[in-house]
Amino acid sequence: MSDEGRYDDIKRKMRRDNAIFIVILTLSGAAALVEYWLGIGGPVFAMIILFFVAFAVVAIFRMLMADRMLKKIPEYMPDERVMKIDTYARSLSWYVTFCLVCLLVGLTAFHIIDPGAYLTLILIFLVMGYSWLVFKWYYGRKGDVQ
Amino acid sequence: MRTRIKEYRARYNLTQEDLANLVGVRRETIVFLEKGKYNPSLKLAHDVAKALKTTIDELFIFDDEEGSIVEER
Repeated sequence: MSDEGRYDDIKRKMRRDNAIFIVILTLSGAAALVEYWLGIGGPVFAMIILFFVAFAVVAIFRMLMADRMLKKIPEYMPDERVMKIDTYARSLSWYVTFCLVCLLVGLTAFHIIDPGAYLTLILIFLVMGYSWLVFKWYYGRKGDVQ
Repeated sequence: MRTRIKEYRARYNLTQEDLANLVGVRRETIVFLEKGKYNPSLKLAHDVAKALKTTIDELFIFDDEEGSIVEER
């Protein structure tokens, strides 16, 4: 296979992995919320566990393979701008999640809502994952983090 | 911040892709550098200047710098 064909193949695989990552994040969050609101245990709970395990497997695979795969494709190579944006997006994602936790603590302390540990974990899971993706997309389009 | 990367690139007949490969970054990074939207590290600025056979202060022009040059004159 030519270099170009191999690069296209790697790009396709990376796009597929990204799609799987987002689908699993969405489905596991949605399943967890449905389970929480409808109070359905059993198969739904097993499905959630399955999604979380699959999510973890994909995440670990991406972490281990991403650098090796990216180094083969100059246009996907994580240069200083991409790494800077990724680091900034992770920091902001942590900050947004921290603000959410502060808000939940305040609302719970004043007995306005009582989300419980399970709903709090689902919210943190979704907010952290999605805010990271959104910030990465936004600063990637903007060009820099300043 | 403004840059003269495009001007120097044209001088040496280099595409954005060529320059990106020379300094080891993505083409998008060169695009944002040329637009003055990305503030590069000192190392990247040095690498770009070296690839274009010039110096950092020739390549990158800061807005306040333009004022001080006029005042000096």
